[in-house]
Amino acid sequence: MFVYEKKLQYPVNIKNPNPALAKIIISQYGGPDGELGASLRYLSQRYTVPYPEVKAVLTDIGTEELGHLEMVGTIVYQLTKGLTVEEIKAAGLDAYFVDHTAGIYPSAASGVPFSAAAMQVKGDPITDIHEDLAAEQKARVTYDNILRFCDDPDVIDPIRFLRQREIVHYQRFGEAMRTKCNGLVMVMNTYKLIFVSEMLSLWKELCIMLYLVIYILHNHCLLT
Amino acid sequence: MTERAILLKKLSAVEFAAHELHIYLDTHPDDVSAGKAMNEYDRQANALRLEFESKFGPLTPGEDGNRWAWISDPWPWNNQED
Amino acid sequence: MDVIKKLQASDFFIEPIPKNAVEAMAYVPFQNAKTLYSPEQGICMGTLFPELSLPFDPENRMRGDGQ
Repeated sequence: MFVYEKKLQYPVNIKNPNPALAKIIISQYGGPDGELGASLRYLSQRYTVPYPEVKAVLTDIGTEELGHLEMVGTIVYQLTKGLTVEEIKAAGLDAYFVDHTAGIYPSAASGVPFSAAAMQVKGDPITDIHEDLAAEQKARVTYDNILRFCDDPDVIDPIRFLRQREIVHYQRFGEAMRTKCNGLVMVMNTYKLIFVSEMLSLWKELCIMLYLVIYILHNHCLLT
Repeated sequence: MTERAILLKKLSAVEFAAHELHIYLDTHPDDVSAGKAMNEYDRQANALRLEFESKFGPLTPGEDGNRWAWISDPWPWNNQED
Repeated sequence: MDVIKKLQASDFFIEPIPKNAVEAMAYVPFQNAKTLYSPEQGICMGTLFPELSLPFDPENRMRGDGQ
């Protein structure tokens, strides 16, 4: 279950509202490569994964992404505080304002509402991890692009932090493809058995180990 | 910076260290020295959290008697340096 | 300014790319952490691990390929 801590992972204290920046940063809230999509993706993938290390990685990183969602919401909230109608209109936020006022609505910078169509839960561990590796890179590039438009150090600071976290998550997902549990899958390949990316039941794994033992013993007998 | 903001910054740093090692240990469960470092940071974070909560109110909903302390501002999206 | 904590020397090591790497499988080099930033430095960098710290470099100044 989920426990909430009444603090941000990394502080956000923005002194100067900036609606133009808010308009693009909201993409990391409800956009195709944003934190909402990331957390939903990882937390949804973990149910059908057969390897405990991968379940742990998906749960822990999915939870951290919810904390990042909160940070991005905070950034957009602080960037749009106390704006006049003229400032909102000048920044091109009038269309958003009509439907949401200053509320934080999960949507992309283009105005497209959040959709699970931008994510995939394929139910296959190798495929899902590749999906996650791609997601982390897409988020990292989105933060790169946000940094290209940013000149306020109060905004650059938390965005920089969030961008670095994506790189660390990429590393963890990459490592998750080689857990101790699925090391057996790697060994299978070196003995030229056909590797089909499927969820192995314990029974099947035992049969394969038995096959390997017989194979090795057979070779040994041939040599003596 | 206020005393609250300074203590929050210290707590966040140590909690971050513990969390970063926690996800490292998800893929490196046999790395004993990393495990020791995480336990040490966890211990420090718990101590700092207790200190923060005693001075500035709860960070998690708990059995603490004062319901207004949980409800009251600032919430995380409010500027903490105001 | 880099405050680095050395993890206790241990015999923990995982081959970054496995010796039995095969075709049609993707590999990310396994990290073997040896040093950590301090918590204050780490949260500022966004990671505790110096080897994972890859800051935004829009002008590719760190490419190091002579360009």
